[in-house]
Amino acid sequence: MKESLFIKLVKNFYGISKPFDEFARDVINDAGNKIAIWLMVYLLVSAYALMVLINWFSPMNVVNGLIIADTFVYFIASAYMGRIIRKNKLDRYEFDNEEERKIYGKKFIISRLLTTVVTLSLAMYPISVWFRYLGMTESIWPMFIGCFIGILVAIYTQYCRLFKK
Amino acid sequence: MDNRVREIRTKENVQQKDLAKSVGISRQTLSLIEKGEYNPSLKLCFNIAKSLKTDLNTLFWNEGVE
Repeated sequence: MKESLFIKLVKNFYGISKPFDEFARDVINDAGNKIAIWLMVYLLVSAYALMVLINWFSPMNVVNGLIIADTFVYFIASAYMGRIIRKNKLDRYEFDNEEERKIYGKKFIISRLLTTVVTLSLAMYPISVWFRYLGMTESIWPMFIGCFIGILVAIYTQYCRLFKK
Repeated sequence: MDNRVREIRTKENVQQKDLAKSVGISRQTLSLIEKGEYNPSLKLCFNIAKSLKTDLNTLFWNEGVE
């Protein structure tokens, strides 16, 4: 079955290894709808909170707080989606022999590394602008290197869980 | 929904991975269907029935519904 570019992106982003069949679609749609509703509630609440807080505190502090809150919400949403994907075993590779295991293992490492590099590259500019505002220019590179090493460790742990006997 | 997918697949000597590939689903999804833990769409039911060279009524039925 031919998959569209969007489906390939979704699969790569969530780390789904299997064909994006109707079961996978149902699981992702269900979790995605729940996340979308909570995000809408969060956006509404944060917009009201922003209007109230901006009268009491410095606008820069409020914006910084909002960026941190948004980042936390992003991580919570990602963790929830990751949990749903692991629970439904959508991240498991279906291999029958040693050769297939090696091929899928290589594919997994390459796709995860590519996703990491693209995500970090996209996040680098806005985060560096924000850090410059905070006067923490010298902390940008250590943070990115730390993040990259952390992600590499996470990829290796996931690789061991999925492919090591 | 009850089904005879596993029974007919074994009788037809078709492996789970081959049937899954021919109808464009994962082995895990087929396994869930066979165990009755996932209700497939009508389109998928038709495709499975076609792949196993049988009809829908033989393959799927709903217990308690006349």
